[in-house]
Amino acid sequence: MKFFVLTYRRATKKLVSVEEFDDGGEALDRRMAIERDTSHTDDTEVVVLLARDENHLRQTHSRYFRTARQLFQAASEVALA
Amino acid sequence: MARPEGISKSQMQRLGKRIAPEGTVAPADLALLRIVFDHYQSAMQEMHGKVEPVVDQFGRSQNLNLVVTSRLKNTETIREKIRRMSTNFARMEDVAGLRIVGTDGLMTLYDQDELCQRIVRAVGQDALINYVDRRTDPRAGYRAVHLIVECADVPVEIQVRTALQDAWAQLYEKCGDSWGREIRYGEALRHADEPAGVMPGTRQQAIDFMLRLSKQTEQLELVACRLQDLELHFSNATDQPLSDNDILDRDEERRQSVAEAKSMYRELHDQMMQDLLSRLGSFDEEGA
Repeated sequence: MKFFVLTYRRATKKLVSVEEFDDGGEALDRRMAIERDTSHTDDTEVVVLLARDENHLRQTHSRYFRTARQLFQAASEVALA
Repeated sequence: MARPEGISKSQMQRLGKRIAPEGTVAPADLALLRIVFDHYQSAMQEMHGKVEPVVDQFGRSQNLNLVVTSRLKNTETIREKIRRMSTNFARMEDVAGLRIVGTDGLMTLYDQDELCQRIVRAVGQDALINYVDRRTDPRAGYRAVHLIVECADVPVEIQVRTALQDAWAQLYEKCGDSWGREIRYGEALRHADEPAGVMPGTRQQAIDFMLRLSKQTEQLELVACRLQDLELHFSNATDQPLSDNDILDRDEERRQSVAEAKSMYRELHDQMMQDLLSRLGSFDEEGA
């Protein structure tokens, strides 16, 4: 199981970084450091996630990884399943 | 594991009030937040460890592809929620949460119910604080089942979503990135006539589309269950000895019922696909 710290900018709807940690405490420290650096603006979303691997994150938190168009595409594919 | 070390519920409530206003959070409060988050994260990890084997086992037995991840809510979202809803930080149920998604589109509403029951059994009925079925009571179109369970004296939210429910939610959250998260809580849409940004048309048109899509996914999932019910009904009906005429009647009834349900499913499905694809076709290249 891995911890991930994702930094996402809502205004641009773009993922800035994905960092992987074995230790949850280190992930939390990293998250709070990024939050401090971004001066707590509500534009930046910094989340700690726990998952087997990054691929799982991409499936359950696709908003961070995909554009709206790609999410539409994905919804269409699910509907076709 | 007890509550966040040395921090009572009333202290946490006061901490919530101090961090809520916009601007910089005091260093002493950041240190307290670090302790609180550490506790929630440990509770989340513990719950993940309990729930994931249940989900894996269920997925294998039903031949479903289910994925589990967990997340700790970010500080800004917590502050925004306290500001907007005057929420007591100590009572916030979604600071830490798990998300389970049936990613291959084969998970039915019945599977979703059964999985939720198995999770409740695994974590213990006593740990269940709340069972929120947003499939029957959608919030701003959002449909899913949320189980709020207690772990280490704090609540952990477990979201269980089918693939369609999740696809809808991800799209809606993307809209929230552009228009403000308040749309998730059903608050009045601001700047309704402005371009949506995340998809073609105005914000109001996009919201109308999303609400229609939510209704369509609900109907589609219900008809899929109806088909499952029919299959079960007719497979169970062979226990009694039947005359040839009865068998013919039963076959005819089965044929008609299944055909009707399938036709309804196809109609709903085609309508939804048409809506999705027409929207998809009008995106620009970058696709927001």
